[in-house]
Amino acid sequence: MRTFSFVALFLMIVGFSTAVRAHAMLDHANPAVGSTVGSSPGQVTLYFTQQLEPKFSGAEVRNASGARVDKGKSISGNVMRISVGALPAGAYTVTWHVLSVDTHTTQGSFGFHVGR
Amino acid sequence: MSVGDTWVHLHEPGDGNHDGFDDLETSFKYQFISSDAHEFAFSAALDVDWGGTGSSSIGAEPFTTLTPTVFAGKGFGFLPENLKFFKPLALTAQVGYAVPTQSSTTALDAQTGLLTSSPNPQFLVWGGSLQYSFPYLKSSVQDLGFPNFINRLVPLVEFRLETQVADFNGAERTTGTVNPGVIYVANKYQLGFEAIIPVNRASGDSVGVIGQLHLYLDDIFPNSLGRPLFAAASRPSGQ
Repeated sequence: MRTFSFVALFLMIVGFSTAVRAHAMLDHANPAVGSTVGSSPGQVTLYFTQQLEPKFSGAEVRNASGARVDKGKSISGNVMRISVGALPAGAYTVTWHVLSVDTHTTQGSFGFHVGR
Repeated sequence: MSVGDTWVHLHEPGDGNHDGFDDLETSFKYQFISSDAHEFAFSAALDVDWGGTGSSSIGAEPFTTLTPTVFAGKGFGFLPENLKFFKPLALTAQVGYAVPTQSSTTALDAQTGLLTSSPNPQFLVWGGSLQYSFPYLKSSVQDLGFPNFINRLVPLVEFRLETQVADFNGAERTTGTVNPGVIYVANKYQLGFEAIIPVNRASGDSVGVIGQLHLYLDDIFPNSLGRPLFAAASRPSGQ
């Protein structure tokens, strides 16, 4: 039986892997993911890692009872802005789905709090 | 579909160094279940290790091996809010059955000049991983303001084992390695390094290291390889 030590370098993978996808992922948001803000932010802004296809991308914001509080969106490049008006204190969940210009779809969600 | 090869440097005490490519590996994989909502995926693949394409000096097999394999992965995003910092955890598992296309290998013994035949065992190939995704932590749980470099890391530990189940060759029935490491996920590539720790003496007697560069060809070449085959049908009108 061979006993050995080795250093191996995996040289190349060609193809279509789904192990970890690049595509359009949420880079950061305002209000920040999981954050607490003192007052209503007026809008939620999502910054993605790739340019988006506006017609096939969107998001909704719901309060703790599940009611939608978003009032429209605009998309420019890799930034999506969702108007939410004046939000009362409470917990909110943002759920987004996007189609990036490389034609891959991604989705995700996160929460934030308004008030203490 | 993936195609890969591995360059191996062997150091054998008393027998010097040996370098060369291992056998060419191809994999045909299909994902049957992919649920973002449940953070669950299930796939099946046929891996082919093409015999005779690698260097015999590093032990590349002269025969082809077929390995049908199933894979499953599950994220921990379902955890309650008081356990939110465990949500970026994910578990993967895989199990396959490796069948050599030749039940035995005959070779000329250089010392005795006689032909010797040794069985090529059939193996259960099994393994898994536990990983923690800082990209998931930042985008779905809480943005803690870490530096961008940290937010792109996925620390993980993998284990890969194989157990002889037929045509035993007299060696240790189960061999394998435990591989702790980290992956850096960029927008157009990922880079990973793992230590390779043998689980027993039959698997090796020292620690190795493996590096992997994984390129997202569709993002690197968005107007050629990354362009959809049916672009006109998949893009909205007027864009």
